[in-house]
Amino acid sequence: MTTVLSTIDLTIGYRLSHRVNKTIGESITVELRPGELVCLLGPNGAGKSTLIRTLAGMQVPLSGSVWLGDDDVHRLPVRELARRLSVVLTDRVDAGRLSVYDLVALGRYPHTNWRGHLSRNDDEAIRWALQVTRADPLASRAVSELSDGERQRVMIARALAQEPDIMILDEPTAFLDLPRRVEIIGLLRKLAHESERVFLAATHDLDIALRVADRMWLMAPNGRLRIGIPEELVLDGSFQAVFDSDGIEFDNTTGSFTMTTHFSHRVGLFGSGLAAFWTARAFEREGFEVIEGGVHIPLRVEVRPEGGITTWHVKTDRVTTILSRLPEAIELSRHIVNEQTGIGAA
Amino acid sequence: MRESAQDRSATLTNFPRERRLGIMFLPLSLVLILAFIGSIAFGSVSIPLASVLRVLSGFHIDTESWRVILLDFRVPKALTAVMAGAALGVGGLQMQTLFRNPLADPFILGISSGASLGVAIAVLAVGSVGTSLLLPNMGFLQGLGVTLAASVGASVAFAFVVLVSQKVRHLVTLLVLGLMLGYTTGAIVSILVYFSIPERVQTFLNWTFGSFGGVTWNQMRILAPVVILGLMISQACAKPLNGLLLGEDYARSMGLDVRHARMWVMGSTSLLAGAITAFCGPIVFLGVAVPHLARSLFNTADHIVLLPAVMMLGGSMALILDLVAQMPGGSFTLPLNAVTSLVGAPIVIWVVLRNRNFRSDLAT
Repeated sequence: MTTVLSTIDLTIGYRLSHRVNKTIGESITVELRPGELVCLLGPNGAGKSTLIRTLAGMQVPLSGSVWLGDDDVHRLPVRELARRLSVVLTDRVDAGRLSVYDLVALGRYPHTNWRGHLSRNDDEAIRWALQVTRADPLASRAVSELSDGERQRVMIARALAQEPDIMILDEPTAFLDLPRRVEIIGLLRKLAHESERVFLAATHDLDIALRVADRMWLMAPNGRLRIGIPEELVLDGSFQAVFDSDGIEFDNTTGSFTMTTHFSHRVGLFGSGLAAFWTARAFEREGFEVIEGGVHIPLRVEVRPEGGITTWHVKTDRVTTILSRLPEAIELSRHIVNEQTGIGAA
Repeated sequence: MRESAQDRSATLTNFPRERRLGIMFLPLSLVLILAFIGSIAFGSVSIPLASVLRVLSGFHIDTESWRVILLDFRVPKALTAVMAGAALGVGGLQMQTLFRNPLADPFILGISSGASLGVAIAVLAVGSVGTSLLLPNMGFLQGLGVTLAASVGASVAFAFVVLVSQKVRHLVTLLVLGLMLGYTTGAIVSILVYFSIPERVQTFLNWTFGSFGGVTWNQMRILAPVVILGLMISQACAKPLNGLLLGEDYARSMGLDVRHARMWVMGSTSLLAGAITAFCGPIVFLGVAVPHLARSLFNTADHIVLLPAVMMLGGSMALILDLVAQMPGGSFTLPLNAVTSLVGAPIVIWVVLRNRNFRSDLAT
């Protein structure tokens, strides 16, 4: 299989002085293939940005090399590199009166002549980039008037107008709300699959990435990379190895993070469906260990969605109380366990 | 995939630069021409407009003294003003873009500090000894001596800037260096002022007030080529400047050799600022204000449009402000720098506050 970008025994980091290097990651050997979206994940400080910057040719490696096809990224003339690789950075762009069209037009920079004259071909590339990112209605707006989500789409359009073989994005979903995050990552996936381009995105959006990334690079705090399709990395415990820390753990069954809490009480839960799921969540947050179908637990909660109206039946061995709101069920339960353990009675 | 965009492309509005250029540049050139004629027509000696126009279009007039006043004083003065306005406006625009700072001016790199130190040493340092070597005679030659001293000072600062621009990694370092250079030269100048005699301090002060009037046709032979060269280099920098709008990292990622661009942008700015400071003194305000006016008038950040706009706008502003400084009808003139600040600052405040984009203009 052909590769667009590959590294050979790459060591990334910073040169602090002539003799001292700060190594962030060693013996990194990766490759990116046409038409795939790869997400780079890892805890803060693992060195994702350093890796991204090194791959993009913005930072020299301590040793090893990055190859774009048959060319060394760090030896290519900048203009040639810009025609084949574009970036979306975390830098906040505040270019005053620049219009969206003009900003995206900057992506044609490596293709235009010394005056920056936009040919018909350049204009078509700009319109295409605006269109596939669905930013065309914004074309005449000023960049400074855009919302964060719109701005990010426009920055991707700019990088796309560069018509690169590979686009590297550093946290493209930072500062965006959840729907906008799904939208942006979904856009990248669509672009990757519909063209032969490669998209590499560093992101913190674990659950979105798990769903849409073709492959994942997981970067551990020691700079080691684990590479695979998302499900493979879940199953072999890589996520837990990389992300687990005090108080937080990666839950392999849900693909999300949970807070490890010490449960002081137990509650038996009966019921199924959405209401039961969120009831369990609520009780867990309140410090209850939820045991589904726990008949022998002194405190039991049954969730009954009947005729569209959900009721919560809080049961002890002696009484059953029917409540119509979840907070009331939780409050009553807390009251009951306090009495059972003697705190409330004291 | 690219091709599919074509059928919908008709629904998008096109924004050709050429059209924007055409619409705005016609009135702007008209203003420039009127300001030019106005600045030649008015002065302490009143000359009928008809005679002024006759002389300007190459015809002979009978009053020889008017001809001399017009051709040997007012025309070079007006030309100097146009060049100064254009040069400082372009320099300011380049520095504001390079440093992504709306308050940057052409002197941010320390050019005027170098020039003022040069002038201060020439005028003040040898003051107590009597006749200065640098300024052997009073009168006409003294003016040239000041120009020479300022040129030397500006050139030293220029060489320093170009050299350092190649070495320094981060722009902020350059900014701090320029600032520190300013403080250091300022300190030396104030020591020189403190120990100098009042007459020489007055000479130095007159230079700091700024004036377009001191340039003769002979000096114009030096000033004009230098300014034109600087302006030509800056025109060639239009595309790199556009690339720099998104910051140096993005510029590099789009294929711009940032160090190279930095050198040409700083080099041309220093050349322009240095030449103008040497011949006219340190003219304040124009360099900061004109780029903002141009952006607001053309509502664009595109340097292909802004560079010529700033030149024409700068030239017109300089002519008009100089006219105001002469107080037409009055018998005395105000210091040029006082006028550029007094008239100019409110204009900038108005432009900036009126515009809904002002926050994005000021934020960096």
